[in-house]
Amino acid sequence: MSKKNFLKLNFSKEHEKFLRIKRKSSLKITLIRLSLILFFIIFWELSAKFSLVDEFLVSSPSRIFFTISNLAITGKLFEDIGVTLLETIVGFILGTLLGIIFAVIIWWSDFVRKIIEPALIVLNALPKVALGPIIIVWIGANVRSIIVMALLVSVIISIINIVDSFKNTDKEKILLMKSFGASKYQILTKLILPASFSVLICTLKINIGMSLIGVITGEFLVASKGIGYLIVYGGQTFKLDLVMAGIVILSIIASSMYLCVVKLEKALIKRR
Amino acid sequence: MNSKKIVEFRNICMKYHSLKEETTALRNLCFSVFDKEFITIVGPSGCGKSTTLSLISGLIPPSSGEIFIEGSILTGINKYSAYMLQKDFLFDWRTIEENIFLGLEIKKKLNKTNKKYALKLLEKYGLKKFSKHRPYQLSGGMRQKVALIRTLTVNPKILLLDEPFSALDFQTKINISSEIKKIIKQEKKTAILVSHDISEAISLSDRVVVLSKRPSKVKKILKIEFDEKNLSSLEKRKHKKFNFYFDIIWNGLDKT
Ligand SMILES: Nc1ncnc2c1ncn2[C@@H]1O[C@H](COP(=O)(O)OP(=O)(O)OP(=O)(O)O)[C@@H](O)[C@H]1O
Ligand SMILES: [Mg+2]
Repeated sequence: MSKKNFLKLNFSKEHEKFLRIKRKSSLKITLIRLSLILFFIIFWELSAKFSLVDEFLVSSPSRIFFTISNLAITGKLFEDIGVTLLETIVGFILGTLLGIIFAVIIWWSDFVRKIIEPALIVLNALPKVALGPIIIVWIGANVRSIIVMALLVSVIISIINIVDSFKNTDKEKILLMKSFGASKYQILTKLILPASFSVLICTLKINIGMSLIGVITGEFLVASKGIGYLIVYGGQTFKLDLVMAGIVILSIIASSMYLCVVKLEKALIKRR
Repeated sequence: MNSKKIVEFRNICMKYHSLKEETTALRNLCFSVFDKEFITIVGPSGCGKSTTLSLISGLIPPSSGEIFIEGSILTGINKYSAYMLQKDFLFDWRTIEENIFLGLEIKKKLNKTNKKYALKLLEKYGLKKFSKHRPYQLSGGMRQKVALIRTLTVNPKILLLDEPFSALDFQTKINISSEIKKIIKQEKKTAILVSHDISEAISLSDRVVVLSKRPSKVKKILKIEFDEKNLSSLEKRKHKKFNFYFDIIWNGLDKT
């Protein structure tokens, strides 16, 4: 018998009731969310149809839908999504990994931290778009410089957040580890990293947005493919349907990546 | 009582340095702890009690003087000692069982025999059914007991207890402290307890060391003896000699 079933058998009437109310309220919230979105879409569609707003400027759900399906038929859509997705995921993974690695180095050596910290703060405050032209000249107008943009946007803030969490680990827990004779590496793996779990997950969630910002900025600057390019193209040729379609696709990409991170988080929590 | 000295402080001075100032925490501290003894250190706040324990554990070296552990000078981490602190510091991401294995893991001694010993301790002291639980599912008192078992699993000779009961409510404190005292006696350990609580010191210890205010020296060492053997800590608290000891310690403590 699984543990879950075993627990279920032991629930009292009151607890059953509590669970029923809990489930009901979460169902209610989901329903309200869905109907709000539905209401918004219908309202948008109708106001465009009855010319309450200018369809050319605000587009409409059906026009966005047709734009997307047209793009899908030509096959261009999947190519663009593929490019953007690839750039985002590579940038996201590199940014996060480098963030963690640098954070570990900075935590490990107080000396390095003192030297690097001011540079980090300046780099963090600097809008990374400003570095765009330099990156393009150095690396070339290609996918690689877009990935570097995504990486740059996410890595600095990752380092800052993770180092902060590392530093905030309870001093006395470290003392406890040391009293058992723990090495610095053991303190890192058995205490600092697991204690920073929620911050690491939070960094992942933030970095989805960060690397998307980097990728879209990069595509605005150099690309001939990708959703960012689609949006720029739409904007320059006044095809606002295309711009809107790009935005819709971006939100789908962002929320799918978010869901993946949430899945990962749940799997990791279960494993510990 | 066995009269073998397990810890000896010879003229220990301890100074802390910061950019702004130099703090002399301990000045010429001399005292000894005997094997399997339960000794309590009391003293005004900030006088250097925790510092004394850190010195014994070898986490920090003294500014001058020597510490002898079983007759030889201590350098580096003291392999014979293990810490128990005010908070239990159980790791929430580990089960109770994994928590008590922590010391063994760090020392790379997590083999079958030692695992078995650790789990036996858990069973012996009534926590076996919680072995797969998480720390947050246990009460404060139970968590402190787990923390004690975590220190015991590495089989230390000397237990360093830094106010381990001060975060507990009064009733739990009395129960857990006497239970933990019993465990320590049963496992034949030497215990050095730091406490703010004079009653706790009298009811648990064989001797009480009173430190003066900073820079601290030993002000008084008091042997606690009741005529009857094996009194529980509650019985000791009600004993007529209790107030006698209490007054001596109280009057010996520097008031700030
Ligand atoms: N790492 C440190 N750096 C500088 N000063 C320190 C350090 N640790 C302790 N001190 C100083 O040394 C003195 C003794 O500290 P310690 O923590 O040993 O006192 P304590 O008796 O345990 O105090 P409490 O009763 O508050 O726990 C205090 O004045 C404290 O400010
Ligand atoms: Mg202290």
